[in-house]
Amino acid sequence: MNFSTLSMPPQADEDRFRALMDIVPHLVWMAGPDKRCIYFNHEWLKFTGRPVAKELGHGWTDNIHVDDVKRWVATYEQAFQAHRPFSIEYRLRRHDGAYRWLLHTANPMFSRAKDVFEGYIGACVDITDRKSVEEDLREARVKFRAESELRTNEALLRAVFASLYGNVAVVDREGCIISANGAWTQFARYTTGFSKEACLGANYLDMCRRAAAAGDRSAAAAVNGIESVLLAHAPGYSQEYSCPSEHGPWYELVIVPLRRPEGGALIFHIDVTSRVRAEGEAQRLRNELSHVTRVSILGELVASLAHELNQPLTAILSNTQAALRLLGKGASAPAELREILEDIAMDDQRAGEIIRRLRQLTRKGEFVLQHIDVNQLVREVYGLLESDSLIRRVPMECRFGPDLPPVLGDRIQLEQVLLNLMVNGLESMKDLPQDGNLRLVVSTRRASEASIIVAVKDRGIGVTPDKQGSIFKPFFSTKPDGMGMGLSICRTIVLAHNGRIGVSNNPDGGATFEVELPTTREVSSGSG
Amino acid sequence: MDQDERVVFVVDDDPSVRKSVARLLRVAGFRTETFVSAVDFLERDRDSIGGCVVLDMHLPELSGLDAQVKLAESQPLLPIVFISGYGDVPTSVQAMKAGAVDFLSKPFSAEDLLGAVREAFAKNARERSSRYEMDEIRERLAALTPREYDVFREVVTGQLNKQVAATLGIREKTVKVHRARVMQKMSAASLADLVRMAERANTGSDAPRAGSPVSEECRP
Repeated sequence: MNFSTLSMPPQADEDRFRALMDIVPHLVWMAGPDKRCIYFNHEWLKFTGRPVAKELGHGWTDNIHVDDVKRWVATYEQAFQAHRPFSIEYRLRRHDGAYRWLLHTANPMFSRAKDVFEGYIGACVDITDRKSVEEDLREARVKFRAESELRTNEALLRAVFASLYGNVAVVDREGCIISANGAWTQFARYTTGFSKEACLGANYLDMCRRAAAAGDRSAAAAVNGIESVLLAHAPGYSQEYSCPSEHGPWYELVIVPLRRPEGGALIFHIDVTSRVRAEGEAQRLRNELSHVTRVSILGELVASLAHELNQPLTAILSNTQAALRLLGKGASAPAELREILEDIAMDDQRAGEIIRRLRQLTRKGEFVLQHIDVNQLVREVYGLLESDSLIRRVPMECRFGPDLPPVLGDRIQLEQVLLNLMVNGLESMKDLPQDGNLRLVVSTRRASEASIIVAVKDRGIGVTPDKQGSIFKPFFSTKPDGMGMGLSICRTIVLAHNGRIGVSNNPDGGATFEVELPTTREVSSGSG
Repeated sequence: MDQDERVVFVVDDDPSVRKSVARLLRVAGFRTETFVSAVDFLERDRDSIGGCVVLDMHLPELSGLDAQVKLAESQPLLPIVFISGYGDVPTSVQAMKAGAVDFLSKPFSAEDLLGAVREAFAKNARERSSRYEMDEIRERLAALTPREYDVFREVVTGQLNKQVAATLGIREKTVKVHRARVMQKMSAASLADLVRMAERANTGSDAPRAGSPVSEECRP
């Protein structure tokens, strides 16, 4: 090492410099303008544990961490070219083989005249410990943040669970309640008579099983629903029930599988009383309206119904007077008198039957679902309209489809639909000239596996295209004194039976109304 | 026509009504025959039998009013008593205008029905006898020689023998002879009687509508 060639300070200064360099705790080095290192202080050599000869020149770079070499070289080269100070953190192998992080700062050196570049002098500090503290601190911070986020999330989930609309409980795979919101707890107290049965820890499924065994049908259905969800057979389940009485309140029970490896389910009881009541009210209004329109159709039929009733009354009166005359003559004809009395009784029954049909149609009834043979339905309404057909001088014809499965519906309302369509059909033809084709044809047929069609075909003027859209709307009427509710009610009734109603014009004149009704799968021998 | 041969034809599609009305009529002493429809009834030729029809107004296929029109063509002498379970005024007016004897609303009393049937029978008897008389007159007219017929035609217009002779270009004495033969052949008691016969012969349903009191077409 010869400082004199580098125009370094005089000998005394150099000695002092060396002494100074060897006591500073930093690793100090110097490089010439050719980038080659020419000096390392004692601390450096102690650090690397290698003889200075191995370090000089580019030898020291052997110890740079392989991952940091490229970066170091790039920084070094750049700084040398621009003669600028630089600093870099990199890892250097210590004498014990451990790589330590060094913070390396270096400044370019110039001659006294400050115009000649003489190389670099740099110092390194071991920052490994500091770095690891920083790292720990950063990790601690991240962990803390994550934990606090988790705590916030948990609180959020708990708050969400507590605020869920409805009464919510979580059950495990066996049906035990493992969590419940506040609403559930209150609900359970209310519905189970203040017992703790349906609260945390209780087996909800068993509770339902007990209620089912005691005869509660909705509980039995709930058991099936819960089991199917718990056994992962069903993607979910829901049912409506009323509790404690059939007048309400009404709840919707919803069961959703809990998506976790251990299984389980979420159970919701949602109060739907207001919705059920509103639906009930709407149904009541529909019934009311259909009753009013039914009575108004019968009003139109008054003449033909009088005709219908007058037939048996005529027979009864004629028979009675014939019998009186027989008795008046003093003739002894017990056989004939007996026959007359039998005929009178028969006609009386017939009149009673007409009245019964009328009363049935004018009755204000609840919507009652039953299995209905559609052909029988057509026969009933046909019977009601026979006189009307005679008076309007429009013949009727029935074509019954074979082997029709029953439909599930309200008999009176379905009769009303048919009555309405048939009366309209007769009405549409009453003023038309009689020819062989003028007739009302009512036919039934299978539409598909799951539905049947009742078609009412007339030979009237048909429905003009501009009226086809509005014909089923309320207050639409082509009759001067029509209320315009008939077809609208028909549509409402058919929709309430999950069916559809439509109209089309026949290619050979007139219109055909078709009512399609879903059939029940159950094969019933008749109406029930 | 013997009373016993006359028949009340009951046409009603309702079996109870048909049976009971026929029974009442039978008990009251009438012969009855029943039919389900007007078509059935019209298919049979009943012109030779006297009586009346008790016809329901509201029948399938052929209505009561339509049957009335057809009956007027095929059996003009058969009176109709309508019965109806639904008596609207226009229909009853139309039926009566077309010559129905009565229009009874169901249910009707025995008195009303029997009264109407008796009236129908009376009408039938009247029309039958008038038809009989007309047939007689026509038969007698057919027995006249052409010349006697000429004299008959002129005499019933009120002309004197002299005028008739002038019109026909024959002698008055010859007119007198023909006139005596006409009076004898026609069984006329007086000229007034002969004039009445001429009018009768001209007012029958199948008599000519216009022209002289006795036209050529009157001759068989």
